[in-house]
Amino acid sequence: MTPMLIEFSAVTKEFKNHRALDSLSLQLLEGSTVGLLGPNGAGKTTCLKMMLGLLRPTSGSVSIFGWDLWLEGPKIRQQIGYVPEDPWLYPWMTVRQVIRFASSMYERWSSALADDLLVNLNLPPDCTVKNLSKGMRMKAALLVALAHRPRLLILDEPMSGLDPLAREDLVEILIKLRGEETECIIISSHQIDDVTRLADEVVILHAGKRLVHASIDELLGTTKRVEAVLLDGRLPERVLQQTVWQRVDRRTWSMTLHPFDATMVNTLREANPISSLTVIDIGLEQVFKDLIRGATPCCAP
Amino acid sequence: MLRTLIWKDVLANRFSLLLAAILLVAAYGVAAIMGLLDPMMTAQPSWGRRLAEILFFGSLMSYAVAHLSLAVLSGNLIAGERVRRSAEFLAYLPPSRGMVLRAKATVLGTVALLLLFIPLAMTGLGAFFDKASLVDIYRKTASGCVVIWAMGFCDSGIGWLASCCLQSNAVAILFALLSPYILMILITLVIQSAEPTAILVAANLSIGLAGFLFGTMHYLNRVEP
Repeated sequence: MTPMLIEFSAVTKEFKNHRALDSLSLQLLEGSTVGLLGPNGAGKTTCLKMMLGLLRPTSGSVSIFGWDLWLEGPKIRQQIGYVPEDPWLYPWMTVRQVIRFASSMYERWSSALADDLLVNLNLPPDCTVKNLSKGMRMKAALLVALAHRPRLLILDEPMSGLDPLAREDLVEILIKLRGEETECIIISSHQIDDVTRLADEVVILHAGKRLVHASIDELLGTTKRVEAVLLDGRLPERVLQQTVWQRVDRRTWSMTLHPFDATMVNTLREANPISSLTVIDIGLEQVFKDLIRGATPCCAP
Repeated sequence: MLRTLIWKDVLANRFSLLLAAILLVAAYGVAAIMGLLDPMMTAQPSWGRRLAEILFFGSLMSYAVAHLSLAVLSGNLIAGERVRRSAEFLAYLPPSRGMVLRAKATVLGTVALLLLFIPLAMTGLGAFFDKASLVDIYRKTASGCVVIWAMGFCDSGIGWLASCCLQSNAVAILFALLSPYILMILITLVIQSAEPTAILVAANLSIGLAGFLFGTMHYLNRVEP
C-alpha cells in the first residue's frame, strides 16, 4: 500500500471575516505530483501554508510524513522545499550569501546540485536580492527549495514572473525531479497547461472545500461536454443530476457532465426535445472552468 | 545552524550596530573635547588625572547612549524581519523558533555586554594613568552607572517584547526608548522616597526581565511568523 505523505483531516481555517478552508479532508500519497487548482480565494495558499506550519487550523489536524506538524515542525521542514508566490529573501544578501545561508540550514544540502542550479537558472551570484527582478527572485527561491533534495516540494505559482524560456527550464527540472528523490510535488498554479504536463493528479478547491481529487486522466475521462441541438422553440425538459454546468444559447444546449457515462446520451435524447447530440472531450482548463462555474451559486445548473 | 543565524542577524542589523559603535566613539570624542575646553577638567593637577577624568566622563556618556543603541537593536531584531517580510522566509526554513530566538538573543546580549564592558575597561585604563584616583573613579562609576545599566536592561526587555508582538519595528523601538523614562516618572510620582535609586534599579530590572520572558513566550506560541 502506498504510504500517505500528507493528510488533512476535516481542516477548517477561519480568519476574521471569512472561512478560508471548510472541513477539508485530503490525502496525498507518496509518488504523486499534484496540481492544486482553484479560483482566487479558494484556499490554495492557506492549504499550502498549513502544510508548512505557517498557519494553524481552527479545527482539524494536518500531518506530514505521519508526523504532527506542530510537534515535529523542524524535522518536517528539513524535508520540505517551498517556493512561495512572492518570495521575500533577505534583500541585502547576494545570491551567493543566500546559498551559503540556506546550505547551513539543511542537512541534505547538495552543493553540487546548488552549483548546477545556479548555472541552469542563470542566477548572477554576486547580485543582491533587492536588485533581482521578480522572476530572478523566484529562481533564487527555487534554488533554495531544490538544492537540499526535498522529499516534498511545494510550489505556489512557480511560473509567476518567469519568462517562457525560464518556464520551460523549470518544467524540465521538475519533470526530472519526479523520477528522483522527491517523493511528492504539489504545484499550485493558474497555468493549467503546465499543471497538465507536470501533474498526475489534481485537487480542485472552491470556497475552501474540495470539489475534486482525482488523477488527471480519470478526471478527463469522466468529464465530458455535451452539445445538443434543441428542436425549434423548445427548451430542455430534463437536466441530469450529473450536470455540473449548462448553458442554453438559442437552440444550442451545452452542458458538462461529471461523472459521465455513455448511457446518459440515450437518457438525454429520450427525455429532451433534441434533434442532435455530440459528446466532446475537453481539456483540463475547460473542466476546471465548468466545475467552478457549476459550484458557484449564481452559475449552478 | 546557530552560527549562521547569528551571522545573518549581525548583518541584518548592521546599521543598528554601526550606530552603537559610532555613539560609543562619539561619547569619548565629546569627553575629549570637554577635557580640552572645560575649566574643571583643565584644572586637573596632572595629565594622568585629566586623562582619567576624560575617560571616566566618556564612559558615563557612552552608558547614557548605550540604552539608545540597545533600544534600536532590540526593537528591530524581530519586528524588522516582519517589516522586510523575511520572517516568512525564515519561518519555513528548518530552524525552530527557539533557535531563531537564541541567535537573536546572542546578538543582543553580546552587544549589551560590549556596551557595558568597553566603558568599564576604558575607565580602568584611565585609572591606570592615575592610580591614586582608582578608588574614587570606581566609586563614582558604580553609583552613576547602575541606574543606567538597569535602564538599558529595561529598554532591551521592552524592545524585545514589542518586537515579538508588533508588526512595526519603528513602534517597537519607540516603546523601548520611552519605557525607562515613563517608569522613572511613574516611580517618582508614586513613591515619595529620598533614595529612589534602589527602587528605580529594581523596577527597571524587573520590567526588563518581564519583557524578555513575555516576549519570548509570545513569539514561541505565535502562529504567524
